[in-house]
Amino acid sequence: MIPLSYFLIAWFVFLAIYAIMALISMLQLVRLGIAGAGTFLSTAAFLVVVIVTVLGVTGYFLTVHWGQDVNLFGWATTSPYINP
Amino acid sequence: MLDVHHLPGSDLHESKIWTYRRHPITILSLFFITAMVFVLPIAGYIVLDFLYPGLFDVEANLALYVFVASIFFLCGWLFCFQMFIEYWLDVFIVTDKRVLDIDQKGLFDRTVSELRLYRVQDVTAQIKGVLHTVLDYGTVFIQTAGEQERFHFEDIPHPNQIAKNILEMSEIDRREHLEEAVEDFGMPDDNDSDKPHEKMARKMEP
Repeated sequence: MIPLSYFLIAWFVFLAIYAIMALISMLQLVRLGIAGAGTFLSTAAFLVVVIVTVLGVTGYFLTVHWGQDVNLFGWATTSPYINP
Repeated sequence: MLDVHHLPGSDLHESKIWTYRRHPITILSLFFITAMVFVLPIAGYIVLDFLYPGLFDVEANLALYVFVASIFFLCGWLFCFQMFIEYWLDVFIVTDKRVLDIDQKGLFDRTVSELRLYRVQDVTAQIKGVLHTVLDYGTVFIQTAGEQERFHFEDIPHPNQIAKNILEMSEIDRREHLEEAVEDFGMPDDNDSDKPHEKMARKMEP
């Protein structure tokens, strides 16, 4: 049984690494790309999708009760609130 | 950001600039991967819910699925973005003075090659394959005097037209750089028109 909160911590660690990688990618495109609508629009589209996804997932995670445990190898039968 | 009117090393007062990229058909896989990145997390939810009814009624299971699916989606989206960057930064720029080949591989491998138009000796267009022929895209090779290496631009649209125009532009530029050109090729026959660059500018519009 693994505490569900570990996944929340992993999510934040992932977000931190992801933010660095996304920033580097966007900087490369903006710095080296030819000034024009295509460069700006593609950067904006990438950023909008990322922000919407992160906000959506974070919004859902705020409603989750993180005190429970999860059985990774039998998750279909995991009972909620085993260890509230 | 690169302004095409301030190209790398530009001290040549270029008046006309054309930018070419690979044919969009060459990034067809990117569209497919992007579609998969959007569809798979939703499809995974539907399939799991069908195979294990009530699975996602358990809050922990749903949270775990959202955790995995969101990481998959964000990584996939970043991968697609980086594929797009590789395509977008890989450009072939032709001005009325020179040719620039900016070759981008991944995020951190970038090669900028430059060639003065008056040094162009031979330009070859190659369209090879059914898809290339139907969609009219291929490779343009540029041979310079005294060099074994050829400039080559792969998968660009309308290669025959571009090759023809580069050759004509180079002939015009050679007349303007007569001294340098004579060193490379010998004395050309002079048959100037009034405003050759203006005439070529109209032909080079992509």
